[in-house]
Amino acid sequence: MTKEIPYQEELGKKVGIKEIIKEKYHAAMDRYKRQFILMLVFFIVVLIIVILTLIPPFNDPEKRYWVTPDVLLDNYADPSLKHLLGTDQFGRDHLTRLFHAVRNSLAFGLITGLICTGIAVFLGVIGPFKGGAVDATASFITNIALVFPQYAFIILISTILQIREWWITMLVIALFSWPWAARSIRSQVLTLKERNFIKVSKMSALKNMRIAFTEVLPNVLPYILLAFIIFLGGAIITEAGIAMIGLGQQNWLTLGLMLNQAVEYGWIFPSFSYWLWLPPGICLMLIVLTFFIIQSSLSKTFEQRKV
Amino acid sequence: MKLTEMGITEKKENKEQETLSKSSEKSTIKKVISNSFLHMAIKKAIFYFVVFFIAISIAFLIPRLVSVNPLEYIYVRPPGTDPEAWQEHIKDLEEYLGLNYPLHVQYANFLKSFFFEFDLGQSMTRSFEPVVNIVLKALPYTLMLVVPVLVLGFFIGNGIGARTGYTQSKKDKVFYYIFLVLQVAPFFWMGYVLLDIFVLQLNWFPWGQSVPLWAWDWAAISTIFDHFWLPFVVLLITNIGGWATGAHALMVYEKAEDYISYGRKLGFRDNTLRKYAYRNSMLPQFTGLNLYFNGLIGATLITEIIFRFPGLGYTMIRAFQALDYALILGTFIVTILVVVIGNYIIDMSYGILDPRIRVGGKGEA
Repeated sequence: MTKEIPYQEELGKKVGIKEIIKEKYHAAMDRYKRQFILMLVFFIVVLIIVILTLIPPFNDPEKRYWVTPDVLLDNYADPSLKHLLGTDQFGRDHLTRLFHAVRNSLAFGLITGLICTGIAVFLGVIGPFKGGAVDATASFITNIALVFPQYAFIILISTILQIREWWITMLVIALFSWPWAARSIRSQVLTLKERNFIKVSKMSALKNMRIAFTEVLPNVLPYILLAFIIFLGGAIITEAGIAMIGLGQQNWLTLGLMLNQAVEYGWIFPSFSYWLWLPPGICLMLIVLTFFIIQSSLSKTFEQRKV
Repeated sequence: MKLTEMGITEKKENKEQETLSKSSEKSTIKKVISNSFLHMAIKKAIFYFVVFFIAISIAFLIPRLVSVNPLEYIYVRPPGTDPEAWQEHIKDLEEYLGLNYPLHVQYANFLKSFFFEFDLGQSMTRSFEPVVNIVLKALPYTLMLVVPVLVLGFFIGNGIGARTGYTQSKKDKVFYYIFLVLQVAPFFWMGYVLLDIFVLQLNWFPWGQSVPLWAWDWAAISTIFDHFWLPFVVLLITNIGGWATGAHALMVYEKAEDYISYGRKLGFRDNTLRKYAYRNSMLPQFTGLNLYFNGLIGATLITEIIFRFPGLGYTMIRAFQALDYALILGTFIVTILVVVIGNYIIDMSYGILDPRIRVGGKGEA
């Protein structure tokens, strides 16, 4: 009985939502200051890149530069003050193309990540709440998709379909990378289902699906966010891999397409044109590293909260 | 409800007791464990067979849903020949390859020839050589990349990661950051970088030449290994990074456990404690092995394509460039087979290592 007294006192205290948010914010700021700074820097850099792709010197990735007007193409130029990262095989400024590629890659990852998360959340939440045959099929599909070799299927489909459209690459990547998240969300939902507030909402005769989407989903939201960030990084890197060996989409200028063109044009013929393949690879690494650090620090927080 | 449930469980218990009492010769506990192990083995085998069946069905259907006649793609009519005669020739070929039947008959034929004769059809571009022969020639190259990378990467990566996670000294932190970068480094890009440095600039390794078949012959083996080192190193480096960062994080949690601090107060040596912590933190890593294996197969396919190492991936991309549908399907099916068998072996070895899984395979007994 003595243990309940502080609990009672805490109940009596007036705790507004603003104070809770303030407290949580300060606690998070204390522990994850470096990660916050990293995220902030990342978003600012991305924002600057997106703005730069819209204003004149950088807005046209297809513009060709000539040494003498319309006669001698300024291709494979070394990095200089005029072209900070040199030019490629058609005399196009490489820095401009890099900005566009970073923007497009991020957009690609964002959309693919959203599709993946949608599938994972749908299969992960609907199973435990519908129960019975729906649950059985949902978990069966998840278990089977978990052992499907992702890359082999992506190579098969993109070789056979012979269509180099962005939405096909996107769908193919999205269709084969959701299963692990569906499984972990499902296990989270299963544990949440046994909690008291769910039982109460069941007793108050709410419909199952409404409970799933208004009561359970907000509580699984951190895990969904985590899955989304992992999907984002994974989609960017998978697309780059597929595109680099020449099987990816051809209408968005992404980092993978840039690497592919660097391999096909600027790699053997002019000796050691490092500016063609080094900057896109480093950009790719930096993007994925940022997402990885954010993801791992997020997962650390959740682990600690569980304990 | 409750009464009936209880009745059912009681019946089950009775049955179990009967079976237990029947096996009176050996110790009963051993019998139960071996039974549940067998149970798990059969259950997993059925599951993986279903996975394999669905995968090959999808792989069979996708090329046929695309409305392109592969034969007309491959055999372009030579100029100066009679078009009708050429059409008849193609129809003969279709009959020979069994492509003129409706879809379900083709599917039944495909399943029959695959499961009973292990026949994957004939390559259309390589003078009708059986696909099985081509694929079996390519398989050893893929396996010699995958198996050493899987085993070495797992042990080296986990060893290093556990060490850096346990000591957390400054020297080890540098190591950790190196592995963090290695983990996110895209393997295909690393492959091209190494190719550029070691093949094109330094000219240390051959590239793009034909790799001889496996033979117990010094010249052949040394040529194969000349081609083998670079893709192997690329795959190993990127895989070690992934394992090391995972083991590092697990070890940090494991170090905070009570038994470590208790052991330290009892006066155990640091090395001994590290071994205990290492063993306990390895189990979650082992469960991740399945997913890693699937990723590794894909990475190997792409690395083979980059380094022109004649494994399954390179055969697949060559078949794609020639639009050889039978060969694409054949390489794909064998890849799936490798994945499924590998996953099965990993699952079973996990069952051997962790007794809790074995008992769990029986249902919550």
